[in-house]
Amino acid sequence: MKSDSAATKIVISGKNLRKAFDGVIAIDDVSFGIEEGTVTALIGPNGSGKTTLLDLVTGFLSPDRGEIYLCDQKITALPPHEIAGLGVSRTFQDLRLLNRLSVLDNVLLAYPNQRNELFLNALFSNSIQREEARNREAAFQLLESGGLSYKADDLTGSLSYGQQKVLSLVCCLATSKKIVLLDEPVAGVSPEMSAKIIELLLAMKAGAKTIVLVEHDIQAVRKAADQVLVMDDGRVIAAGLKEEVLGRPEIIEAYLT
Amino acid sequence: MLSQILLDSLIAGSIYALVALGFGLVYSTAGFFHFAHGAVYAAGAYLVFSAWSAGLSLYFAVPLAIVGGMLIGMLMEIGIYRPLRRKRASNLTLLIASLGMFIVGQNLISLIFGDDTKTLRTGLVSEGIPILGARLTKVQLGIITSSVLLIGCCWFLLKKTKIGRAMRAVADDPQLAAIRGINVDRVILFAFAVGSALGVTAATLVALDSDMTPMMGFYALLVAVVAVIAGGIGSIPGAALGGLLIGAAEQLGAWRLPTEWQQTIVFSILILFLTFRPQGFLGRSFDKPGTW
Amino acid sequence: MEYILHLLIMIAIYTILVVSLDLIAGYTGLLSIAHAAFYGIGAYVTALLSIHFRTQLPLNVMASAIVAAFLGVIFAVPLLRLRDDYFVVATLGFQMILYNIFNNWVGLTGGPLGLPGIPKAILLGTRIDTSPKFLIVAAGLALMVYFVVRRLVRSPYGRVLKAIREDERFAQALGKNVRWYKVQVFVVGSALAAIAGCLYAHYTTFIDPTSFTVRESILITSMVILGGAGSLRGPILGAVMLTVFPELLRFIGFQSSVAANLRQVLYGSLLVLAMLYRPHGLMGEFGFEK
Repeated sequence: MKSDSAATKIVISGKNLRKAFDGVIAIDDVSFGIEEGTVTALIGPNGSGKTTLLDLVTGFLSPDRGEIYLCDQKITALPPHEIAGLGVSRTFQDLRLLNRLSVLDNVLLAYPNQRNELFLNALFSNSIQREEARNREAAFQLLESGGLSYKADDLTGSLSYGQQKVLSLVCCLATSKKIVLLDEPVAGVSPEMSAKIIELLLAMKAGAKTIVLVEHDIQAVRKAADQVLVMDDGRVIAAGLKEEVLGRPEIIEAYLT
Repeated sequence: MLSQILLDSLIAGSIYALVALGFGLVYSTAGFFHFAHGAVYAAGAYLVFSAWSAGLSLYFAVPLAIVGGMLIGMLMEIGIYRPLRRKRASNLTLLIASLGMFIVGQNLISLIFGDDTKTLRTGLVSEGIPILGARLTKVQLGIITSSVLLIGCCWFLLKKTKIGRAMRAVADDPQLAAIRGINVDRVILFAFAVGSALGVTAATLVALDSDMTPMMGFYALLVAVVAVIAGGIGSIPGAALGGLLIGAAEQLGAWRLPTEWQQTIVFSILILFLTFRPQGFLGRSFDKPGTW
Repeated sequence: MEYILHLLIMIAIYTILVVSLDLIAGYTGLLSIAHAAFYGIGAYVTALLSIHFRTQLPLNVMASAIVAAFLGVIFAVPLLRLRDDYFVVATLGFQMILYNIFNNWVGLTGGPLGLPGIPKAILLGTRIDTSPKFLIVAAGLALMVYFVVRRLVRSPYGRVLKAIREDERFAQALGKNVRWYKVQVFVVGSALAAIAGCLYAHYTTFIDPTSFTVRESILITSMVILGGAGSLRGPILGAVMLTVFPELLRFIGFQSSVAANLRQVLYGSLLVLAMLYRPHGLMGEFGFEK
């Protein structure tokens, strides 16, 4: 997976990962490396272990064997919030937005390092207004870019499915983390929303973020991705540049028919 | 001395095993803490008492009460828990509703029968037959044998019958069981019936051996909770094992510590298990009810 | 008149109890039935300090809060990683252990006989020896607790709490140290409950374990749930209703024990009905749903 330029930095990597649930092997000896600034699509049939891999990388599951690295730092046993703090943000396949909170609140929660989220500051500090106002401003702009600013004060549960997917992407953006892992960002969404989401994705990439997306929608993959990782039955069966991997006959046959 | 303690442990453990088993059956299949089991337990003893005071012989009163207890348990499931499950209520919601029913049940018993201590004991307090340096009354012997019998029946039920297999399937994975064609609601109802019957039996045995008050369900319930957690979540033999363990801990504790600290021992066991091994002795470790 | 003052004072005390429990359970989603244990800790600490050392109110308040906070940490740190229904069971265990300690450690707590002769509260040199004076102190404290908690839950800190309540995983993915928030909130809430206990001890001048049973915990929890978790005002309304109603029963002439049973039948039934039809209670934001 080398490009022509000088030393490409691998920002996330996994070595010999293995994860089983109750005897069923979900991840079987998986190793991978994601290059900085690229968009990598993680594709494969249902049950191939894609979301499990995402959960392992973000700390929601711990592997039975193997290690995970963020640049050079071992993050294998770290809790999810620490991994998030180190620069990884993600979305979830089942959305997981806070439905009973407003759209704006969801985005505001995403901003990192808010001093007002600390107990003593929340009680005593007077700079709440300033930091909060700054974040609100930024949040509105992000919502604007997602076409959702008119919904800012509405309950998240009142949004359509597609709008919620856009919102989860907006929250990701708000975390301003360099590495973004998206679990099926366009699945089940109308073509217009899909286009909007891909637009946001490409904007993120332009902002020098490293993106990994788990997806079934091959059109989206063709449009947005640079690299592709193919998984099947808990193993990585192909990895490389998009054109090359998606051109392989066995991939086309097994997956694209 | 020691043999009396061991015997007392066996007696207490037998009763707790029955209560825990009943509670555990509901927990395994329905997936939540059915606190109201304590009310069914107490109601059972008082049903026996009512029938017996009205002149019925115990041979009729007890089965009548068992049926009555089963009906109460089943009504709770049909009337309250099932509608809540339909609304996709969380475990917490079910627990709160259960707590509410327990409070109502216990206080209704108080209102109807009064708070004074009653008993089903007939005749004088017997000294019991001497066995291996300890003393065992006929009732106590009855407790141990009934318990062994009932636990044996449960084992048979779960391992060898169709409905038992269905119960285990639901305990393992309700969604998978439903896909395989098992009527989960019916299985749960059955669990409530059997569980309640076991609870009523245990309460009757206690009332026959010592006494009964409206509060009796409370401690029994707490022991059941501790037993199910210590013995192993979702493991039916585990619940029985847990019951025996609590009985032993209680009696051994009474040997060394003043009796008023017995309860503290039981709850300390609970906290210890929840801290270090929330899945209990026989539970599977990936079923841990903790977070990551 | 004296009677109305009594009711108002009890409402003030329960306000502190329900507001602190709402913080833990209503805003953060951690249902607990150990609140009466912390209430009791505050009462016993205050009673002992007051009886033996004639300490003044501010010191008693702080000492109660600190002891409760300490015990809260010991309990919370290992047990907060349990799933919500197991956590409730853990709080039940903790409540029972503490009740047993109140009831059995006769040397310290007087056991079932309790601690009589607690001196009246002393604030800035004055003895708070009449009911109107006590009401002012109690109401003052209750208002302070209310406004502190209110500020907390309306701030970004409160937003994180709600996020934890709604979806822990999402909160984690956003980088929030969920465990830490849960411990903090539990400790703060428990310390506040102890402050209520401090007031109670000075007010009744006699405490015994029967005021701090699991039944009491369930009563406080019912006030929060029925009034409406996650709204602060809902639980206060719940506290008012469930404090006043049994008194009404007594007026109608029911015997005390019958009234006690009836009260419990009532709120037991209300809890069941609330879960079935109105989990958010009267004006709550949260109904302990998934």
